Amino acid sequence: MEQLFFYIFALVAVVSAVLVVSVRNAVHSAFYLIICLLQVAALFILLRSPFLAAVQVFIYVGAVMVLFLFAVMVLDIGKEKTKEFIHSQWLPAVGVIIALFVMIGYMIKRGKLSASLGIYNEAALAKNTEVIGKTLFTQYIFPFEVVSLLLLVALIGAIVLVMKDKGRARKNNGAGS
Amino acid sequence: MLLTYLPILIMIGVASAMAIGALVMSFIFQPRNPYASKNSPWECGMEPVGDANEGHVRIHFFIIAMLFVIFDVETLFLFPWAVLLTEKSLSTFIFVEMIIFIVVLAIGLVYAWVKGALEWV
Amino acid sequence: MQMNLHLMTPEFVMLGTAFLLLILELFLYKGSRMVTGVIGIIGTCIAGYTLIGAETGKAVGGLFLQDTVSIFFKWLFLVITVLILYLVMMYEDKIKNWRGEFYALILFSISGMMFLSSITDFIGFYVSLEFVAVCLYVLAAFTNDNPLTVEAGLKYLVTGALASGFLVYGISFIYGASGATGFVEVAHSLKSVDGNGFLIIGITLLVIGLTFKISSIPFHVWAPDVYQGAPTPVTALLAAASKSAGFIVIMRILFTGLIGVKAEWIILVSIISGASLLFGNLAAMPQKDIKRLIAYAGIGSAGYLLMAVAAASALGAGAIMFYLLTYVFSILGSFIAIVAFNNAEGSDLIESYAGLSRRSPLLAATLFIGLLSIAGIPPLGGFIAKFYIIAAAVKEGLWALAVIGVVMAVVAMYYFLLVVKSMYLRPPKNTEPIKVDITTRALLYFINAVTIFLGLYPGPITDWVMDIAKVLF
Repeated sequence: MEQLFFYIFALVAVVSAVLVVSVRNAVHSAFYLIICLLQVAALFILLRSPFLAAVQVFIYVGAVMVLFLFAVMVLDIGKEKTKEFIHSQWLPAVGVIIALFVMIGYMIKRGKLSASLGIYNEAALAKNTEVIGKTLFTQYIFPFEVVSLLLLVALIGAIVLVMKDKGRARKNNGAGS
Repeated sequence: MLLTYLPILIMIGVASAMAIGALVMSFIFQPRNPYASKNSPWECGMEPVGDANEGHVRIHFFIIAMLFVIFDVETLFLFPWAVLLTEKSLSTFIFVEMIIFIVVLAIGLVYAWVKGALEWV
Repeated sequence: MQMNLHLMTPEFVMLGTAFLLLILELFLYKGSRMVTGVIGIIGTCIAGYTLIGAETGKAVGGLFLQDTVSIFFKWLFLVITVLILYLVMMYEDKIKNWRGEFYALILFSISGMMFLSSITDFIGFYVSLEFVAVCLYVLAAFTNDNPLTVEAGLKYLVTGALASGFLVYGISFIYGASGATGFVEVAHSLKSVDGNGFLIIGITLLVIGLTFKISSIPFHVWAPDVYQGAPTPVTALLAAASKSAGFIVIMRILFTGLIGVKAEWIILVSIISGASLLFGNLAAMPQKDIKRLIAYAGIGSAGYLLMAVAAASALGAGAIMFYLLTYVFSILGSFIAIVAFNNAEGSDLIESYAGLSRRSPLLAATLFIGLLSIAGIPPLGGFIAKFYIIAAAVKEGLWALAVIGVVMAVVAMYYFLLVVKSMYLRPPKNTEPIKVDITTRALLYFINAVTIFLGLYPGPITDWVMDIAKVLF
């Protein structure tokens, strides 16, 4: 039963991911991306990680998609969609993708997992959020704090690259320039 | 454990069925009377000029969306933190930890504010 | 859990300086940002002061490791910071907007690189790498009124995102094969390969993802356009600091984490190294723009450094550190000369350098020494560095790579000597001398002296570097 659901979600995810890159309208591909990300969230639930599923919906389906749609809106994509969007390089690209797919598939077939679930059996994972929180805030405190710096720099970067430097000008001569 | 998600799955199924059903029903029962001026943006007799999607959206939307993503990620980290705060042995430590995290992002917020990224003019 | 936060003092000082500059920026109005640059340099010097006699040990629960190698790299990063902040001050007139943020972002990226030099865990590694990368994406597109810069920023971002995907996918496979994220724990659980497909694919994706930072094949395509289009101080940052950060990370992951399975990655690294050597040096020959020339030469340099990685010995690791030391001084000296020339002449084309020796002997001499040191001509530091790298390769039996390395060193001499020929033998179009101010002069004399000193009397430095490199194994 669980496997059946896995295959449904995985199939829908892969099909919608292919559609993201193959449909011509940028807004449509954003919506296919939403479908794809929702399927990934469902897969996280099958993997007993409801917290990650919530993250997936919260951040990707919520915030990042808003960002994508705003970008589509701002960029005036309307005219571009009618033009050629698959370039002459599609043949080598498909070749590389198939080669990579076959190679990774073969290696995965030969691979074996040695990562043990350890103390995280199904009963422990019932308190999923607490387990993640505990590892994140004790063992991985250093990456956690670096994430705040990363977000800060992303914020500064967005402002610096997008805005004109007008805050200073207005302060300087009152009326603004 | 997975059975607890069954109501959500049923809910998603019902919601999708309603949405698709509405589309299919209206496709079946709609009156069909197409004519050319139904496709024009304004049915007032004037020929529209140019494209509707050119340059009407300010780039400022992008900054707002970016700020939304950044503070969304911050909020997300607050959930496991809040769950964990009840543990006596850890609470002081992770409280201080989260305060540092929030202060760093608050500096970013103050910066965005002073630079006028939050103003809509 | 052991916090030991005092081990991270230099990083805290750098981050504190960056925050100070950011907050200061809110109260400064129009005009020059020389003050910001000077505060940045002072902050960097304080960070250097706290690094003197720094203790070694582990901090924040073992995710941050201060050992002699990381202290070496932190010194390297601090020297780079001072020189690059000086370079930004020279370049400042060309940055129209957000000058203060430019300094702050450079300091943020350097502190991220300092984190990278002490990393012991894949998760901390990935987050710190992204921290550095976001700073560099913004910096590469900073003067976005110029279409070339926008192209540079976009290319850097897109290739960077792709490489980052490779990296994180590879890390997840390695986690699957080993069950650990810490480098030491990974090394414990991976004693031999036994044909585990997860491990092979993980290592391959990881190494390919890492080639982005060091601009070697297959993620080299961004380098020429970004080096040409980005603001010159950022180009210097990418060439000197980002490449060093990439190599300390490669050494930590491959030498500490995956040394037990080195049979898997030595072939891969050797192929990447040979391809980068051939491609970088051959493609550099027809270049007209000096920044593009340095970009292609940089791909070649990454090939040399990867040759030492493929040697997988303490000698190789020491050779990498010595190479980076000489490379940083030669390339930053060259970039200071390039910016000084561009400020006077407004051009980066090699042909516009004609007759530079008659217009400004110091700038010509700096480029002469810097570029020939990168090419590896005997009395200069770069020669000794290449010599050690080839020696390390030969000692581990990598004969084919060593031969390619020697041949390509000759090719490198050819294209760098074209620049030298243009500077010294061609008549200048315009004979007006180029003025170089006194601090720049002093700095250039110092850098040239270091490059020559590293070539003439490398003994103590190489002994020291070879000694501390043993920590990695």
